[in-house]
Amino acid sequence: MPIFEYGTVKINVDEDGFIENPEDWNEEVAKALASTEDVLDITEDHWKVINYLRDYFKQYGIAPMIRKLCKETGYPLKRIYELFPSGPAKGACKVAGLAKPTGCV
Amino acid sequence: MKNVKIKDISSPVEQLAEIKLEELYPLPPPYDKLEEQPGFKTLSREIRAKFEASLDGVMAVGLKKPESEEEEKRLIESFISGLNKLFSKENNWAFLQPLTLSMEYCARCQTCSQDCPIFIGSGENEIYRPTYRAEILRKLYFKYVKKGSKLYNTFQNGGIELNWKLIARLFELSYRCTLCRRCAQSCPIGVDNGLITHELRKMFSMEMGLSPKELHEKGTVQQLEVGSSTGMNSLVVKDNIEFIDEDMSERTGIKVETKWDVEGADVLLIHNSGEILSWPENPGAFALILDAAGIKWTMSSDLVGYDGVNYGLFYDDVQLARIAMKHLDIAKKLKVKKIVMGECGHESKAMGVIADRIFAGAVPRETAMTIMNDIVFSGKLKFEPERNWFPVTLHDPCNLARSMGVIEPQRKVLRYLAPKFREMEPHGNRNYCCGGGSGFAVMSRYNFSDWRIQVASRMKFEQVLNAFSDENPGPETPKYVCAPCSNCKGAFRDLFDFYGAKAKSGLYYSGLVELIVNAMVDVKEGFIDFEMM
Amino acid sequence: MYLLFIFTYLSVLIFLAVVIYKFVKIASSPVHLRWELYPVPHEKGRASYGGSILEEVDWWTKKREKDHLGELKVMVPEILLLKGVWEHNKELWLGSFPFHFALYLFIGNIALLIVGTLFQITGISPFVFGASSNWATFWSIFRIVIDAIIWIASILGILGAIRLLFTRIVNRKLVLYSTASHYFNIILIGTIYLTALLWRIADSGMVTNLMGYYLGLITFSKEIAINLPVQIPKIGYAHVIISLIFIIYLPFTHMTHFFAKYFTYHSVRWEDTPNAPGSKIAERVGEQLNQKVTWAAPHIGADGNRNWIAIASAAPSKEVKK
Repeated sequence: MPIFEYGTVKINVDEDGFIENPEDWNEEVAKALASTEDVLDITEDHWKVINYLRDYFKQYGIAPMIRKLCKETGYPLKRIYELFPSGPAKGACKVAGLAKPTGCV
Repeated sequence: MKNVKIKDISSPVEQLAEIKLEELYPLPPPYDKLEEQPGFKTLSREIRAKFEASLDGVMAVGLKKPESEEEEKRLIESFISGLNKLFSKENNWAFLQPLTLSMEYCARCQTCSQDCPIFIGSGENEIYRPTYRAEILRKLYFKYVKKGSKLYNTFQNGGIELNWKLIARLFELSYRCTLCRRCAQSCPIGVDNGLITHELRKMFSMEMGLSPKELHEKGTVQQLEVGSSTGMNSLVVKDNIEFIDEDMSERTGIKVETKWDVEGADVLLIHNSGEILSWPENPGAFALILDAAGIKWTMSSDLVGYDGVNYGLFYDDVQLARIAMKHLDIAKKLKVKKIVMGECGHESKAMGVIADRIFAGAVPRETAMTIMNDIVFSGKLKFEPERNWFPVTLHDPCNLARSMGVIEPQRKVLRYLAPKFREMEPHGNRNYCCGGGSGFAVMSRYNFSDWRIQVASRMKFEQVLNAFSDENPGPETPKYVCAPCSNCKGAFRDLFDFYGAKAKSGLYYSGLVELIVNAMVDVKEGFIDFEMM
Repeated sequence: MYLLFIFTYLSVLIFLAVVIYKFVKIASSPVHLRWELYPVPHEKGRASYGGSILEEVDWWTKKREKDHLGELKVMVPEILLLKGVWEHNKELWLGSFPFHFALYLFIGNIALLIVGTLFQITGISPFVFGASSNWATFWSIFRIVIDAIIWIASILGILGAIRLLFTRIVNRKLVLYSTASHYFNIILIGTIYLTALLWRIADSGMVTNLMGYYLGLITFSKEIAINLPVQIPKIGYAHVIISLIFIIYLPFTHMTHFFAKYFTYHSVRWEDTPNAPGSKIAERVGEQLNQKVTWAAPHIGADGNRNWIAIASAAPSKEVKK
């Protein structure tokens, strides 16, 4: 299992860089993971997306629908792509410390 | 290695073949500049030390290298044992006859090669020739299963050396073919190289426990445990559908309400549940259309009942049967008149055709294409086809077109409701696979998606671009690829993202039902909103 | 001569025995899951674009009409003209078509010779054709046809064999996938064509001698056994013996595709029969589901006793992978 190191952060990730144990996540980890996703600075807008994703994940164990994410955060998909260039599933979920989405999604 | 031969599959070289961007089939402009193409990620030294990337430097699965000689020996024995089970009627009655025919009667004429989009897309890289992996299995079959005189066998079929390298490469190689079966159509004798790939994957999974994580652990196993390969349990799916219903009602001005677990319904609708998460307009449009047509329909919230996905079709007969049995039981329990399979090619093929002999006629199944065609021309809905003012082309999912012969219903709808509909060439059951077939669309570990997008989807990308060659090539004109299949949509999404085709060419993809809803007079105008796609 | 007659019967017997054995073996394979491939030509009104009855709403309530003529329309040009190879691989067709067509002509000639011989033996001819002068005319035409086929088929066959050999030698993709037997087979069959042509060139009475050979074969006539050997040139013997060796060899090779093709098309590609409760298929599938599974991967959960039904009804076994 690959280990991801960044500054003082040291976590287990899968081969795509997704966190292996979601409980390892904290804000420092988010910043570290963001560095791999072309997110230079985590802004308020980023946190809004990340916090929504985390709350949903805690409740349901999976990532929310993309439409739901847009609607609940008030950001259109385009804006999400601006915030997380590899998109909601591969980018935002990774930074928020969610497991990689599965199935035909 | 240059000029790769069959026997090289067991060669000790570090990597059998190389993929070079400049050797791939050329793409039309503006995608013809090599320096602008992202290319392939190379695997790190650490990964290569631990896993087998000895085929082409790409890893779909990530097979661990054996740690000791004993382990290697054990794996080779397990492989031989699996080989023999693959040809036994107890373990593989389900495909024994077609497999044996494909093993014994190939004339090695290579007629099939030119029909393989991966082989052509790769610039004719020998290891991707449809007969390359087939011939390896064939030689192993004659040596380890049929046995007989060694001398005569070598004379008739040539020899092969079985070692770990061969097994590791053959395993990866079984994930370099999308099972599209285009090659099988051109075989004069009726040999099916797609089937051979399918059987190879099965042997690896069912005997050696080797399969891609996305298809097995996160796929069929998760689906049977949680209810869906997406990880949605019944609570989440109901919550999501409720959200879709609300969103749909808001956007269309028509109240949409999905019904759950209605006993005795005319139609049990089973979507590929990826639609619900990634393309919610699709299940939303289904609900709206079925209601508008006055059909008594339901969805099931039972475990597996709300996910028509059956990845078992791609790699494992036991998993295939387990999921098919669940679908059958749920339909029986609800006493529905029929199952309608959503816009998903492999679901339709798995439930509609492959599992037909397991269903034994207990619950009839039909594809979404047929029922939608029927509804559109029933006169129950009013349309304004001009609302679909943009150019539209149709992608035929291989499983629907080649394996089921479902070709015309979706075209009839498009000819009526999309005034600027045009075919791509070739189409119908001579179509090219989207490159995401056989589970590829959900597989993206290591550097596999680079390969999938640039090699497996290459011919598709070319034909999509050509289909719109009479239009303004820029992004000002949105161009709609109608792909009535979740897997295909996933492949198009990754393909268009990879090349920036939305920004460069205005390429969009979506399903069939979205076009139907967009053309309905009673629906608020602008249901299809390119800004949101 | 008697030895040659016996050898002929022996070759045909071996040929038939092995072919029948293989045929029965394939035909008695378990019922497999559906794996048809469209276009399926018996789909009435839909075969032209590759459609199927599954395009119909509530298709199970509609009558399935099988268009057998549609199957013939695909099979005849496929078998006689190798249409599939023509469409997908013209380079190969240039050799493969004359090579195969010559074989069909030879087989046709054998049939003509056997029929002619039977006419002669049964003496049915004057009765059928009335006046004996007509009968004589018939015989001369009959001989001319056979003679013409020998010329055409052997020349066509030689050209086909040379071209096919050439393609298999110079085309890299074919070289990579050809084994020793591929070259051997082409040369063997090519030799049959060549010896036929040489025999015809050396012997203007080849047709008469061939008919004598068949007459002898059927009647075991002493007269023929004595006279015939003198009339047939050495090359003629070579032709007959090589042909017989080929007949014995053929069933042990992949060239049995001549009948296996029936199964790849009719039992797989075009086999689209839906299963129905109480049908023969349902019964056979039911039996097959009772077989024990021994696949070894942990998630299967096979213990050597559980059958397909038990395994498919169970959840994936959670035993940890080794």
